[in-house]
Amino acid sequence: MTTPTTPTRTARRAGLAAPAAAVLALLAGLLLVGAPSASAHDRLVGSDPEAGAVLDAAPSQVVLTFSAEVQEIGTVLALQDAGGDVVAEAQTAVEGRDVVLPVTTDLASGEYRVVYRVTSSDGHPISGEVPFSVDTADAAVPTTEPAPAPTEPGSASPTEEATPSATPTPTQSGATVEETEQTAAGGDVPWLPVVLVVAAALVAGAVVAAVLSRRRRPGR
Amino acid sequence: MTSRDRLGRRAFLSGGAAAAGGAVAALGGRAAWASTRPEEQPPAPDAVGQVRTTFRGERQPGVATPPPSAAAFVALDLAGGVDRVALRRLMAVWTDDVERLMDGRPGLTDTEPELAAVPAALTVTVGYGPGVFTAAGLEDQRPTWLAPLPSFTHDRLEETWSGGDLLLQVCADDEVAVSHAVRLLVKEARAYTRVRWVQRGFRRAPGTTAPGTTMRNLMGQVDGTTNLVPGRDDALVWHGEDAPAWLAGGTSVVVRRIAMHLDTWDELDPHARDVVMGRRQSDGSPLTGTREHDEPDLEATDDLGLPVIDVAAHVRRARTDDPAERFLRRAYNYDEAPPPGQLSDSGLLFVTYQADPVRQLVPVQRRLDEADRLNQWTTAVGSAVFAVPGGARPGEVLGERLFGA
Repeated sequence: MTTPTTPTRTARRAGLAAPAAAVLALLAGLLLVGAPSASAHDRLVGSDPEAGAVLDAAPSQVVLTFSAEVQEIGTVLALQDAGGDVVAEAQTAVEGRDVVLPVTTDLASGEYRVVYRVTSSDGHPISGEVPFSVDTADAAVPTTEPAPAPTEPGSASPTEEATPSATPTPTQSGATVEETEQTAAGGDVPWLPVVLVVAAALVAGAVVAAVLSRRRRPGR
Repeated sequence: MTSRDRLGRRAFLSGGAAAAGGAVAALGGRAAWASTRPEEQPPAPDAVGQVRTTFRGERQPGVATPPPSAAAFVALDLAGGVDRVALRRLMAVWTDDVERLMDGRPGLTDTEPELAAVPAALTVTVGYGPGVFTAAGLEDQRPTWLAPLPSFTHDRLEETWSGGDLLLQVCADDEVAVSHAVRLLVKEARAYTRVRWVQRGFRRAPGTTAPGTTMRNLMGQVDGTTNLVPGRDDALVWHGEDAPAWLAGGTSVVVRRIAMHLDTWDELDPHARDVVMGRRQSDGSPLTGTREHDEPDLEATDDLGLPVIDVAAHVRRARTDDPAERFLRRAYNYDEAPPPGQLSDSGLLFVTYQADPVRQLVPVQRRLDEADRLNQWTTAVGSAVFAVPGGARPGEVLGERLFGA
């Protein structure tokens, strides 16, 4: 801390120190409330095919990548067609952070989803789905054409970040990727945007309060 | 009589009524297990302490009788030179002691006879390890299943909690009664044996839960919902007349010490705990049902098409289509002083009774060992198998059909 500060600035800081500290404490508290269940166990961080991808050829396998090595126990991976029928589910292999499902059938054009339940290194069961589609009829279409909501799987979708809601909803309706972490209701609620919005509101409130109190003081 | 006296008297009476109510509940709970229901009458304030369990009969007590709140399992090793005759002598002493203690009377050599006056449903059950048959020169009488269970991948067995030549299982609704009985019986046997291990356990105290309530273990789970019912499932528990004479009316007991890793279990949120079990911790109901005793639906799928009861959920792995792969569970919690650096040393004394542990228990243990989510938080650290000889019929010494009259 060698940055020189003028006496005036120091004084102003001292006046704001108490409300700022309160805001920081609140912010820290909120982060602690939101964080543990999300950070305690592994989550899906990517997939091949990506969520929402439109493929011009049937994939020979589906690979899900998690944030850390997952356990073999209880691994269930199934590829379902639009009707919900299972197209491939056998011989799922866990390879470190990757879980691989070979696809031996030549998939016809249509909508598909991979549903999964894997076991986090801490024993926590995690489940969710990754949708994609195959369109072999029009091979000219680029394989990674923007999907309705091409998001990083497992993270909050842009739609939700754009319209942050103060009341978290347990399901991400409309989102392409639905990762249902098996926690209590709201396990995959995008906490960060909510926390940021609440924190911003608190900061604003604290500043207003500080300013008001400073204005009142001379009048006393 | 002053009003103050009357108040005191009333308070005393209502307190007595509450205690009596507890005793009724305890007796009611027992009736769910025992075939004979005691006469309904206003019990005395010390009713719990005065409950007596019958010692003599075709079967030893402590198996089909309802589990009292406190238990001690004592394994003893035979001293060198103890043979069939010495074993017969020890059995005669124990038979007399146990009969007296269960009846609320002191043993013949009891130095604290006062402690015997509160039997509190005391039962003593005697078991024989493989070493008894070797010492007695009766190897030909040793059942093939009387051997240590095969080793399982997740086991971390310690000598301290495993094996043993003789077992004393002492249960009562009062810890003083248990301590006193253990002390007397071990003292009487000191010329023949030395103590190998002692494992103490507990369940809810008498009168604290409604009759018929399934026990909870220290992980919080309802433990033992699907259990054999004494009376209905006797063929799976007891040996009949086709068994060797000493084993008719007998069974086997397996005592496994299952350590619980509560510090990591604490990190699991309630929903994940329920997925691990396939049952809800709140009320023991399967994830496909609403009440504890609802039959789990292993075929049910959720909106992703995944099994509602996980493929590696404890309840799924423990179940079997083979009706013979079942056994009577009578578990006790344990909670000992932790070693340095540990918060707790808690777990379950997983105690099972079955006619044939190899046929009935081992296949289930093997399935759980292969893939049970619960294995991440539990580890077997002790294991012992004993044969439980038939009961002492009137005039008989326990085990005399094995060691000779």
